Amino acid sequence: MAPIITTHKLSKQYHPPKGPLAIKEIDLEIQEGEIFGLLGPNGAGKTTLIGVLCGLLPPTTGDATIAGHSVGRNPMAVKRIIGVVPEEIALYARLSGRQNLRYFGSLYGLAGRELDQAVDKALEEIALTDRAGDKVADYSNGMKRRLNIAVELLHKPRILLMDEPTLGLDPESRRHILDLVMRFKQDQGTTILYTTHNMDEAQELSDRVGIIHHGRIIALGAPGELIQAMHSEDTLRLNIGISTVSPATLNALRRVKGVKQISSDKHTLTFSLLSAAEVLPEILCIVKEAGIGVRALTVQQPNLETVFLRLTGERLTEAP
Amino acid sequence: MKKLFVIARHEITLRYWDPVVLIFTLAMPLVIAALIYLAFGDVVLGRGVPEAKVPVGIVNQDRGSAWGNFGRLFARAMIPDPAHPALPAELQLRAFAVREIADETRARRLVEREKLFAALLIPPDFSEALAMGRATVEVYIVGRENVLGLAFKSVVETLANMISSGEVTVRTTVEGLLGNPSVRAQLRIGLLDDAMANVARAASSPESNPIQIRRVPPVAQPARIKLAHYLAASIAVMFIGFTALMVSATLFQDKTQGTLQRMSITPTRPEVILGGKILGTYLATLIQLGVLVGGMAALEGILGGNAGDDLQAASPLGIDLLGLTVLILTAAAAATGVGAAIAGLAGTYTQAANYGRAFLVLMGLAGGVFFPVELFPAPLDLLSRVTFHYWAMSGYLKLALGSGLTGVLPHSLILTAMAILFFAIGNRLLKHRIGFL
Repeated sequence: MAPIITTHKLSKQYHPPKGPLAIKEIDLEIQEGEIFGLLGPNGAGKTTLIGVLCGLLPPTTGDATIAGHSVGRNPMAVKRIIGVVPEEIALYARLSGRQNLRYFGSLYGLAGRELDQAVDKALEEIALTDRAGDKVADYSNGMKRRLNIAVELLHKPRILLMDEPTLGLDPESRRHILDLVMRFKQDQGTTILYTTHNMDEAQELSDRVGIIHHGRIIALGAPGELIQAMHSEDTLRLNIGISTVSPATLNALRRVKGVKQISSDKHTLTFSLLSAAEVLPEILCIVKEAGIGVRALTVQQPNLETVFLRLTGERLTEAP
Repeated sequence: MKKLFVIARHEITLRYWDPVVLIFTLAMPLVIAALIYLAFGDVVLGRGVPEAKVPVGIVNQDRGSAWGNFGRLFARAMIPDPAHPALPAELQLRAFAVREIADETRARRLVEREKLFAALLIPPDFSEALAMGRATVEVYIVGRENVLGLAFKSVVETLANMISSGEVTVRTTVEGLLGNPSVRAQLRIGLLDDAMANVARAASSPESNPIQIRRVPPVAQPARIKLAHYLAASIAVMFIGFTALMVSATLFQDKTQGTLQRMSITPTRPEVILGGKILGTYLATLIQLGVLVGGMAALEGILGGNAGDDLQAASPLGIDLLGLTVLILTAAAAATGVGAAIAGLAGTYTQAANYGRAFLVLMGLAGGVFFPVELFPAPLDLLSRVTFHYWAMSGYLKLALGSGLTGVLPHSLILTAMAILFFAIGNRLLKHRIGFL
């Protein structure tokens, strides 16, 4: 099956020739019905890529096609089949939720009964029917984010480009939006390009992820495959409070099969393990025999954050 | 096309959804107008604004008589000649710009069209009648409040009284007249002494005044301008300028909050988005102008209430509605065009709001919003012509003085040209400023 979104050596430079190159020669293929997570820190080029794909920004070089339509040459055809959820809450705060939906729905060519039905359905989808007549200014941040998404559901787009839709949300609101995104895929088969710098979201939602760093896609694949490809280990941290660890105990711990590395500081013993689940009982046994009290224990399995760290030497949340 | 109106309607909804905007754009101008009306409601400007020299005309149709052509003498006496002053300084004829007109019908028409404040009409039999002891001249004035025309009439009356009030006065007049080369020519042929003797005889007779001033009431009296109307018009024109700045507000605020980008992502052409926003501003300006003009008419009805007064004709709803409509449509277009150009030049909402307002106040000042342009020195007077304020104001005042659509057609055409020019500038600059449009 032909990919629904394709980019070929797509680059975007702001204020050429001296301006920054926001995305660099991106080659990407996204299949229909897929949720593709674009993972990267702030300033990596995620929003620029979405801007180019939706025709808001002209590419400097290369091209992108959506459902066979060139973004540069036939932007109107592209705009008819996509929905773009922007990072910022792009709504009229003085108007009600319903007024906002009606206005943008009209710009998508909806009118009359069709528009009324689309607005009602979108409000239902985001559970805002009861508050539809209230001013957006009076909504909570989560409600605004949901309405921000609902605007792009009105015309039933085949492709949804979502730029950090959960930015700044509390866990409950975030959960609501993640469930909503999953529903789009399951119920309507919508293709979703979802940008985030939250690795958990990307890992949970995405069929495939692309890791973008300094405008380049540096890794591409299913989350599990990427993690596996990094040959990453589990990390075990034992909080031992004021207990001291003798050299003999440390040697005993190093001899446990599956322990790759041990480091200790004042209160914590940190282990790199091939599989935490397999060696954890033995480690705890040695520690107990040595009379070391364990106050807390954490096991961290490798994830996309680890992949990003391995690939860039930077933590995702700390990268510029 | 449909989306153009969707966007325009949305702009109006956004604008008038806000009570603060309603207060500042609609209520406040009306309150100011009401205060002005209460303060200056009875002050009348006469025919618009007085000019430095009051234009009047003289039509001398006097055929003359065997005694000479006294009409010619009379006419020449009215025309100031610094080298040979024909009249004493106290007559203040210097205030008038007197021109001779050959045709009586034309002179009357000029007065009726307000090109002249008054016309002195000397009849064909003036010399003959004067020689017989009683002559009549006519001062043609239109409108009771034509103060300057009445002043001219009083000058003519003074001159007539000087002729009629005895030998000394006649001599004085004759002395004055003797300074005129034409009079000297008449004297050379020996006719004037006899004529003056005849005048003197007539003056000493029981019949009081050999030259009677007959004031002919006008057939139809055009409207006068009240100061309150003038200022109300200027407020309306000033405020539509501020409303026109909405182009920048709507574009830059939408850009900042991301809604402009969101609109651009929908299958709507950039020119439709920009056009819709400008159309929305234009319609908001039209609404404002309509409300202000209508509101001021209502105010006059409430606060003035002097029905039957000929000043009532100056009411906005008492003037030519077709002319007023065309003027409002074109004035709003010109103001919106200027707003678009300011938005394009500014680049940000803050710049547009701050510099734009300052610029509009300056334009308003130059365009006669605060002071009548007739009071300006020559260069500023010319500068006023490049402002939409001037053409809108002068068009409105012309309508209030009784003109119809044809009278304000030049104003409307100039306003339309301004609208096209400024829209073109604004469109070009805005496309550059807002890359994705």
